[in-house]
Amino acid sequence: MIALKFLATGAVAPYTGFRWSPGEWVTAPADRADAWIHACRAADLPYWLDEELWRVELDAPVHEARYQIASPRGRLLERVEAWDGSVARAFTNACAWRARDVALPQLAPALRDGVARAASLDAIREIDVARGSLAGAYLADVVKWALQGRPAMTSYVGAVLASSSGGGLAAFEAERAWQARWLAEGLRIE
Amino acid sequence: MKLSVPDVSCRELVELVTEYLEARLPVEERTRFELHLGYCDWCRTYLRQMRQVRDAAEELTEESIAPEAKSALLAAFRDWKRGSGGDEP
Repeated sequence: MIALKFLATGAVAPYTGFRWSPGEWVTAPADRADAWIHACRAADLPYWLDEELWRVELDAPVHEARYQIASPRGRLLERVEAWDGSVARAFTNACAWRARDVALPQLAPALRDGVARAASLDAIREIDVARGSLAGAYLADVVKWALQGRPAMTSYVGAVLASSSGGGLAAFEAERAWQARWLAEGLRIE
Repeated sequence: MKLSVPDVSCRELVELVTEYLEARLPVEERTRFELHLGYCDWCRTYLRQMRQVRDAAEELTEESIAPEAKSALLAAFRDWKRGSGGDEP
């Protein structure tokens, strides 16, 4: 099965520090599912954003879970070069503007016009949007992370904002699904 | 308000970090743990530091501890046990 995998710079697993060598098979103990090689379907991508995106080949059996897939054996095939700084920035900005739209009806009335008219994230930052509502506090956070160019933080807080207006985990996952569709289109992956 | 998110909180991550490093977390709990690491720089740093502590501690032997350090540690543990109401005099 061909899947996707985010890694830190240099093809390094971000949590274990394991350094992958492209093309070389890596094998985990078959009876240790917690140590299997993890990868993403397109729908999982927003949950695992990192510096490098790779296509990976996974050997059977492949266990499909809610936010990732896993296999006892896998290898890196090639970098998805489309995931670069400019696409990451565009994704981050898209998440931030969407968060603005989600938050807008929940902001303190005195803030709404200014936030609706803002032509840039810098302009939103100049407004004290956190004042008076939880949605405003999340929006302020989203804008802060977006301006710092942090896609993982921006998209996560955007999904939390979506979930905070009453939809709970379903709303969180729906926001992540929107983000996944944006990434699939932006990166031209299926 | 309790947030509806799929990952653990920073506080939960701190409580689970030893089990994570010792590969004792069930698969679903490990996923929740790593979902949190996906966006939280502070917890990534904490995990890295805990891994370094564990690796350093694995290299320690009783003989490798200087006598003064060993005495200081034993004294600290004695005081700590008294303070926590232990059963030693």
